[in-house]
Amino acid sequence: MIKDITIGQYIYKDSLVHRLDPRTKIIVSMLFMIGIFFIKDYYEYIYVLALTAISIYLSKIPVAKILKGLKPILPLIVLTIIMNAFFTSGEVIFQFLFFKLTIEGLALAAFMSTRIIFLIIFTSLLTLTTSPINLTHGIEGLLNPLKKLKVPAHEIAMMMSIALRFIPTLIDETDKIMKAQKARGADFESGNIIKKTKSLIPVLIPLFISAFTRADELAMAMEARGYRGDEGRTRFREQRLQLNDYLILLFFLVLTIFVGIRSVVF
Amino acid sequence: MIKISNLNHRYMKSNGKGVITLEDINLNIEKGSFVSIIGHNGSGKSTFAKHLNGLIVPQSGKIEVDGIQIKNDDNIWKIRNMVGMVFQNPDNQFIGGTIEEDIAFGLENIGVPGNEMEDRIQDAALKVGMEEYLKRPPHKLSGGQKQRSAIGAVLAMQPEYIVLDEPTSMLDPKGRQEVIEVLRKRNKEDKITIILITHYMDEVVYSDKVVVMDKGRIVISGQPKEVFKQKEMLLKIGLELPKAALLQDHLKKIGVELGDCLLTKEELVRKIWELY
Ligand SMILES: Nc1ncnc2c1ncn2[C@@H]1O[C@H](COP(=O)(O)OP(=O)(O)O)[C@@H](O)[C@H]1O
Ligand SMILES: [Mg+2]
Repeated sequence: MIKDITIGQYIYKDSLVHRLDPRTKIIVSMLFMIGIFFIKDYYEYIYVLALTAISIYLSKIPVAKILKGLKPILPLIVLTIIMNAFFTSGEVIFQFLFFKLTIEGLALAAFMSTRIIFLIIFTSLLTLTTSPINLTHGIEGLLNPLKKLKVPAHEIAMMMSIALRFIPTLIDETDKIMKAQKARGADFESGNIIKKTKSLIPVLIPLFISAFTRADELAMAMEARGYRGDEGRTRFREQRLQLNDYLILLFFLVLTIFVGIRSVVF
Repeated sequence: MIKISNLNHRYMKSNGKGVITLEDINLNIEKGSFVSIIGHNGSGKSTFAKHLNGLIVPQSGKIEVDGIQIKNDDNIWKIRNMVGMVFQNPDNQFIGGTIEEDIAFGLENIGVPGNEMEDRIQDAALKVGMEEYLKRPPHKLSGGQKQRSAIGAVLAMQPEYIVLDEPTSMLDPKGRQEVIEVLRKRNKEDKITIILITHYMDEVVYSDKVVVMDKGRIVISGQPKEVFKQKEMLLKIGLELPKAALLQDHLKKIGVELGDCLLTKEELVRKIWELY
């Protein structure tokens, strides 16, 4: 189950979306995040759905892969639904102690959880279609103007790309440790939340210890291969914005501005 | 040539005491040779390896790589470019998200122009037999494939020497053999100097020189035949003999005399054939 997380799991395909400049994809993801917060009516999600569907289609990423990525955030969605459904004032349908299930609450819960689902799906496209190193280059490219203000653009980008690179490795390792602990009789499934959380301690401790060893060895390996920060570094596949990038950026920019203005005016 | 003279090293413990890990090491590593270093756990092999490209700078004594002394100065980057290094754990030295990105990482560090990288990556991948996997992420590779890419990543930087610190110890027999084959081939065809640290005796029988370490010292050094003749010494410091030598030993006990110390399967088979 833990293996299903898709963040950082780049899937190589030859598609329009894959070929876009990482900077374009990052900006588009950010515009999408902003844009979706301007949406006020449920039916408007049809447009978001269309936009997302077209993007997925163009990326050639199998829908199943994307939906799998939703699984780990299921608890967050459930929490959102509960919080909104029970703690919104309005016409009460059902009451238990101070929990009031309201019609307005239900509507809001549906609305909010849809927003989260779209957010996750759309932004996971970024990491599914962009390899970590390209993502790094993209982030670095966007932060570059801030270098003059002593923002460590390269270091931030390097840290993020290494984190992304190690997510699958650490997930595999978690899986292995869990199996090893299960073989010794550990039980991760039964009991209440406190018991479940407690049962994770024997998983987390070895995981942390090994993560520190990894960090140590990785730093050594990087140094051995001549890494010394940004100094004198060149770039593999330096990317330039293409016509496609400009068109897509323009499209999303106009769309976001339009949605924004409309929501303010009306 | 790498020239190591009177090298000493101690680690500082938290109580302020030093633990001696390398003691009076003297060794010359000839260019183009295949040198193996053996010794049981804690004998100082890794500490020694880290000295060869300046990951640890000598506390006392001297190391020269092609005439450049390893010191805490700007030359250290030149030396890291001349002496490549492959470590034990394949996962913890894979920096890129895919093989080609991992190879590119080293090239980016040493300032290879972007338009030359593609060729060098292809070339290096071909040399380690990983050309078909360039777009693969590390978690979709076997241990042997990961170590071969690590070697490829070092080869792309075109070093004169490659130091490998137990590169096969986390691999299955197949992966181990693949890695050793790649190393022998690169040594023969490209004349790259290989310094292989291992605790598998069968991996060292083909080397030009075997260096045996114990408790931070070099106790034996010489051609494999000479080294494995000193059976008692090797057993005393907790090492074994190569499988062929072991078998020869057993045969001797039951009265089959095969003469000189044999190290490889091929030699053993030939000798046995000659008997009849
Ligand atoms: N970072 C360190 N700090 C303190 N002691 C160390 C460190 N690394 C290794 N040692 C000690 O130095 C000795 C030699 O270790 P090492 O060079 O790793 O040997 P080998 O690679 O042959 O197993 C060991 O006794 C080990 O405990
Ligand atoms: Mg070691």
